[in-house]
Amino acid sequence: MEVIKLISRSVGGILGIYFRSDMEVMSEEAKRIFSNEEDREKYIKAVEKLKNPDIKEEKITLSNNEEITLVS
Amino acid sequence: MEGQITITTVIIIVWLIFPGVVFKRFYYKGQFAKQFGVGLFADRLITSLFWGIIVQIITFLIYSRSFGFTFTGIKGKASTVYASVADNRVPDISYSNLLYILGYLAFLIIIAYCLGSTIHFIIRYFKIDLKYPVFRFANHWNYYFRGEIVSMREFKSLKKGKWLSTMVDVVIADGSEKNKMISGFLTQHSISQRTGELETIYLTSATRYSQTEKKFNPIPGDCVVIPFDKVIDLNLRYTFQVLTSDQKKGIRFIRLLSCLLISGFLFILIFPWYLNLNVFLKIGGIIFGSITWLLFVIITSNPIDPRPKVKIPEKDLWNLFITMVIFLIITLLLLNIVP
Repeated sequence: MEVIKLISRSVGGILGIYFRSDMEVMSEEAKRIFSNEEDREKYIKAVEKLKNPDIKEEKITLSNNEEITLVS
Repeated sequence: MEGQITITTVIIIVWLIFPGVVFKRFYYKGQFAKQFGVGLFADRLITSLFWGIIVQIITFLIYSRSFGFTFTGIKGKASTVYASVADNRVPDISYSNLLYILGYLAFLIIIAYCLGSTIHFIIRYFKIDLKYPVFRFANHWNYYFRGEIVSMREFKSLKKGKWLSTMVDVVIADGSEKNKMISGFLTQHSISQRTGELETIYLTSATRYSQTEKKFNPIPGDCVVIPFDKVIDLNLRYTFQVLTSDQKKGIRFIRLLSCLLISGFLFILIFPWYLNLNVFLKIGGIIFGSITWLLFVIITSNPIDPRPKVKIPEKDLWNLFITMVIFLIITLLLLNIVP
């Protein structure tokens, strides 16, 4: 039973490459950020800051401690 | 004569145009789906006929190799049926022949679907449409809204990282003296079924510029819907994520994996049809061979996979390896490669 689970997980991971949607106008990462209120605020603030041409990049730390660097 | 024209028309529609239409239905999908029904009727007819002929050739080659048909054999039977129908007589078709014809029609549709979907996937996945304008889909808005234009030669200088979101600044004419300026994150867009042009854009976290306060104020609500015919000016701002070297490695790794998988699957899909075997053994060989290949790629790529979330622990790899060997033996037995 464990083997079947393992195989289905591995196969799912590989086939996910093929069947993921490439049609959305918002990336999966951005959707994940927007689904969390705190991350959403941070992201919007960072994007607003990037409107200023003097600011080249902006770093934000998400609620899962992942740090991402944004450029615009 | 009238009867002959009708029969010929039916034959052309069922055997040549219909497979082409199915192909195009699955080639134009997602945001490009509306291209399927847009354009001159003559253009759509000719392209359907062209793809229908290609689908027909591939289906015929596979079907004739599977069931041992020859072109002259089918031509002889088809001529007899055609002569009967032209003379207003019911054609003498046996039950087994009818099954072959219906099976061929079903196979024709499956091949058209597979070919349309696969070609669409290859063009999109390997960004062929971005590199070569001839492969580009008519919905050019999708390329702009998804930030894909940075991969085009014309906009190469813009390339900064991985696209995350698109912010839109629009100036709208609402009939009043002063135009409105709205800014927000693009979440969706719709294309006109009739013309293929942009119809509506949907924004979230939208703000509106206040002339008196000289700043953007948040718009209460979750989504702002803007009809495109009201838009005077549109400015797009992409937000990219700067990729670390590990993330870049991850992307390269996935691309390599995809190339390996596609080439292996194509070989497994084509090779059995050259073997002198029962059709069920061939299909079985394809199914088991595909799973074997998938497991082989998973096992061999695991040590160099830079994505920690999907990496399989070493002790589990042995279970996968044993499963792969079992599937390999079944494949080889089905395809009669080992006695």
